[in-house]
Amino acid sequence: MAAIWEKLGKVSNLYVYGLIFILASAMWILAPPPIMPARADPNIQKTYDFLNSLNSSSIVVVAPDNSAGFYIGHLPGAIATWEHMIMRGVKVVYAGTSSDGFVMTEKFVLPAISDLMKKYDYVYGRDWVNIGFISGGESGIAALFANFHMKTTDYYGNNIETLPLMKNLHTLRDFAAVIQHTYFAFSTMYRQAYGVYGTKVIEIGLEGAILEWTPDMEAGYLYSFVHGWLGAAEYEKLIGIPGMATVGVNGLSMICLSAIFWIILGNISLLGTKLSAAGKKVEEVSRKAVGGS
Amino acid sequence: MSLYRRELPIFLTGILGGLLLVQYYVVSPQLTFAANTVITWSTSVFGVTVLLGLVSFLRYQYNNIKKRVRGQWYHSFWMIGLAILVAFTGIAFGINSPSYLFLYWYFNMWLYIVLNVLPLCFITSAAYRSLRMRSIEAGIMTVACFLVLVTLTPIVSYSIPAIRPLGEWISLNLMAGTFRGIMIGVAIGSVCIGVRILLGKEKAFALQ
Repeated sequence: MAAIWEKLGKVSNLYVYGLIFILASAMWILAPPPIMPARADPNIQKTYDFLNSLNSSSIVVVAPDNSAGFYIGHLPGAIATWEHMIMRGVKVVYAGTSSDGFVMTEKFVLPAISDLMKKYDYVYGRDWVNIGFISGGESGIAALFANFHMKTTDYYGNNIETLPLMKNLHTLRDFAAVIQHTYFAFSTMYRQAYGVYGTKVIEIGLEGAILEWTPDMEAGYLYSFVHGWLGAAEYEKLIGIPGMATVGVNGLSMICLSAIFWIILGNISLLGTKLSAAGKKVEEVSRKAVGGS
Repeated sequence: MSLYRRELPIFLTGILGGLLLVQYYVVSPQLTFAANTVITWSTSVFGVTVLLGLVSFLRYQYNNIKKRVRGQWYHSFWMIGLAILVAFTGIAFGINSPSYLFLYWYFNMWLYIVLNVLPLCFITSAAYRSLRMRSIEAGIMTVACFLVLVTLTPIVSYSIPAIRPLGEWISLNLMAGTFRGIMIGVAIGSVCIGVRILLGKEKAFALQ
């Protein structure tokens, strides 16, 4: 009996990985309807309410400060918030310190929102501008926020001065908020946006970043956030446009459930092994007692 | 060591860092202009450091080939070739050209994405083997990780009403306080290091 408990605790990695693969594939093949919450997370609601309060006279900086590997984690949030801004007519200036973010935006975000852009007549140059990669990390962002005409050309090689949106934009004081796509508590925007200009900072990142963002929100320099596919699915429900996060919520659930299953199995095996060992000891003691009498 | 290699960098760091620090607290158009000029120049310097990094990288790989470092020299050939190919394609044809984007995607992006997805399996396996209640401390850690995982599982947190408020309470009360303490410690340490650098006490960066 003890051997069974020990075996349960030493299952080969083949079965661990196999279960993940089977569950993920099953979600993809079966595609069951997504299970959504009755109410959104308070932070998601706060993000939604803020973007909903903006209008066509508001301008927001969107900074894709992420790498390709982690981009898939906040891709749905990036798409959902931009769709909301398109519907509200909010102007967007795209600028960041990660070269990967712009390539991923061109590849994934722009194709996803192109139909909505056409529907709402959201035009490049008038409603949104892509300034592109800013070198220098935090120094570069600080320089950009002090002077948005620091770069002479945009991401596509157009002269910045010929773009109508850029005419009256000079410093970050002309903007309503900074939305940053990042995978952990990237404090650059707290210092350069909120610290210097008092501009609201909204983060879009991975689920795990909620652990680091909660104290930042409590301190006041992070306004709100959208965490990973979970937060993006709730955001999509709020804006009424189901997207990849709504579809992917079931897959996320299955992956998490597989991890929960293995943790429970490992602890059951430990408990069973300890109880078997305790049972054997009791047996030995009683055998000795009977033999001794 | 000569004056310009050691004392000059420390002096410049103190002066420019002090300027940016004073400009943050003193409202003056002249100071703001000076600070913004310094910050703008720093972005150009950063571009040069990227070039310096590329040259250092190529030199290191060339030395591996020259010395025929076992198990490494043929990888260095490949790395030098790729670096030159990508740099040449970007400079000659532009970063938005199909050829550059092809290299960027199929030699960088997809591999990077896969590398970041693979840890999913490793983390699950690690959680299975390590998150066990072998002792009181391990038990507390296991329960904490389990609760966080449950609150981040959509199907569980949406189906069981008590889970979400529990997760929000843990985030706001337990995690926030702990992280706040860590962040305050890190911030105080950063301020101390910054003051040491500005006063010239921290010389490590100038001694290379």
